[in-house]
Amino acid sequence: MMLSHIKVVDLTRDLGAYAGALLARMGATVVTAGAGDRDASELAMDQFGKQIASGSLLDLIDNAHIVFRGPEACAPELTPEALSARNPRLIDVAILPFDKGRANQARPATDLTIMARSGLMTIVGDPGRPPLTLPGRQAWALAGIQGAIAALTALNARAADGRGQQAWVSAYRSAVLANYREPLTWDRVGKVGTRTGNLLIRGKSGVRQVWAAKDGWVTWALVDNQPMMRATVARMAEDNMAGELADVDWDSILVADMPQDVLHRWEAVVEAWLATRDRATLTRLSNQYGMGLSAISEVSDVLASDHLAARGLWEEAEVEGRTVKMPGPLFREVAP
Amino acid sequence: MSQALAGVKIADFSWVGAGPRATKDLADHGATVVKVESAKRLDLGRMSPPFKDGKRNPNGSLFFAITNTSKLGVTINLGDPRGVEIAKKLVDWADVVVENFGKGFMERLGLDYATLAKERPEIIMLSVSVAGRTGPMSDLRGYGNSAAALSGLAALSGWPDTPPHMPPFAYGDVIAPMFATMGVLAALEHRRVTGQGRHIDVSQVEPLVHVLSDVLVQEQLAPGPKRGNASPSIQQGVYPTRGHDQWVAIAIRDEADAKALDALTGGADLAAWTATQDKHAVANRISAAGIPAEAVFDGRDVFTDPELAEGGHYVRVDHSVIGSCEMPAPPASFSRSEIKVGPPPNLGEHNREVFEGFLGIPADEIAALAAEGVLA
Repeated sequence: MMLSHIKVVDLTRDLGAYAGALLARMGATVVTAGAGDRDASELAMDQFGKQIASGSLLDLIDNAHIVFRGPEACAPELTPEALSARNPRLIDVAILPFDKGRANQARPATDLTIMARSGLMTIVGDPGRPPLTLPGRQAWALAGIQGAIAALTALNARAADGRGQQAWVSAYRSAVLANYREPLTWDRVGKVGTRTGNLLIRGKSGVRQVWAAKDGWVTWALVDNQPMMRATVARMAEDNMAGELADVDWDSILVADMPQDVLHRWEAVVEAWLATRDRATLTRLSNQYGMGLSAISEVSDVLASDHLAARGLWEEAEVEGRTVKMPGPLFREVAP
Repeated sequence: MSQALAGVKIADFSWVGAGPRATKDLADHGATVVKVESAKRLDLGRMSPPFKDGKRNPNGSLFFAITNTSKLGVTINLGDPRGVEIAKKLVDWADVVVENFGKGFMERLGLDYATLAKERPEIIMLSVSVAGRTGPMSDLRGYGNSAAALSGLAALSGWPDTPPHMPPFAYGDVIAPMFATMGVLAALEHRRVTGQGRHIDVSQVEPLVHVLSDVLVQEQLAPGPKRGNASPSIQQGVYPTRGHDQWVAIAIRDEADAKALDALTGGADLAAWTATQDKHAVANRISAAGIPAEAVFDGRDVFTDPELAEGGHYVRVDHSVIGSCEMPAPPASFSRSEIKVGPPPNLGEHNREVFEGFLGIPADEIAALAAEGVLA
């Protein structure tokens, strides 16, 4: 594996733990010095591939390429300065809720509170209901990924002159980076986004993204992608269900500029057709003709997916005495 | 300070979001990234709002700008065999080739990994696609929603009593580029040790499955309804504050947090207590007591947050069309490596610099190819 020569010592207890897990997935030897008191399912995201420290932690660090640490206080012999003095080639990455050395560095945080501050929650969910976070612990995941990227970036710098360095990753900034459109829209257009349920708002109108098929849910939307629109309407026409959509010249209109009442009328035609077909048929038609439709997979569908199995995504692990499937490789690699 | 990825050369054929976000990160860290586009088939990101002054302009899209900082931009018509030859010269120059075309496109150009690696086993190629380059669904054409649908993200999102929810931003276009960046950086490290390159095949679905793995495990151990804002290990929620659609998120991690919050509220109902207060003030008050709490920010709150301004999250750059604008930087800092966020390229802005300076093509030849629509 690509990082099989890399040794990592993981001092994190919660925030930041995902960084080491990601490097372990790429072959690094990751030794964890303590997993904290977390819930088993939360441990699942970061435990894979790591070993528990045995012997002297400092001996391990002397031979390590990378150390990951979280926001927790550490013993004097484990400060970045102490470790750098022992091992000047060491890359020491701290994954923190907020930027080090600034006003909020000691502010308490959890995944939910960082998601709230990132601006993501205000646009997720339904109108008339409270803001909603994403499933899982996405702020923690984003920060862990950025921690892994920082470590690998610093490895490249080290290759030039043999010297290690410290790096600091902000979980808050990691989550804000995922919120790529809202701050920008405020800056440029002066508009503040809010929750629109499953409507995708672009231009003057909103379009539906989630539809009922015969046996579950699918996602598709009226968008300004003419080949996808033509492919879908052609399939509807084969079933004599295209209605007025058969007469739309997709090249001469912009869906984003269409009046909402027209879109509602068109969507009623699409809704009636999709409800007559099951997800497998719609998926097959979409793949064959480029409709831009996808079946919405339930968890059981994801775990049973032939495609993901063929890609070698899954590995088995023991959690709470049960064998469960967990994702393994981060991506597929092909050697020359 | 020097930049960590100085000297890394990347030929970037990717477009829209999932590929360009990965190369933006690499460029901000100092890699020389040449973005290959064509005026004959514009990057859809260039047509994505918001635009400078609200006017559609391929060089005025803010969406494109934030996705392509610090890159050089060239135009090559890959529909012309002479354009393909120029692209091959660019690939010969590069350490890393990035693409997110439909399956088979790079093969038709003779720029696929198998072909390139025969001549140059040290080359690194990154491919990003919705479902990956292998497997029964590798032909899938879709967009960000497809990855949300196929990964379980949509099914797991929303309230327990609602249908699947499609978050209103392409989270697959956020996570997959980060996995792609990790892949490229790991491949560079591997190449330094072994001299061998790699083809990194990133599916947008699989990174989403990875970041949902704790929920997937929980669902296998004890299937249940969607969690909404609940956590299996922390008592947490979102509570109304003063004003329309204003909220505060509060997390009670343990008994100490519960006692401290009870002391603040005087035992009042938490939602009733927060409902009369300003969201920022109440979040700061709770936070000062050591309990995690944050106002639910909107786009304005985020853009004007001093924490981000002081941390250099948004970097002001000057762009010839957009003007002075704030671009996001990678969310990290380094003790001795510098991050520099530069402006995104206009269409074909660096043709001469790249074709003549990097590839050694004579100026008169460049001019002739441009006039004939090959470098366009």
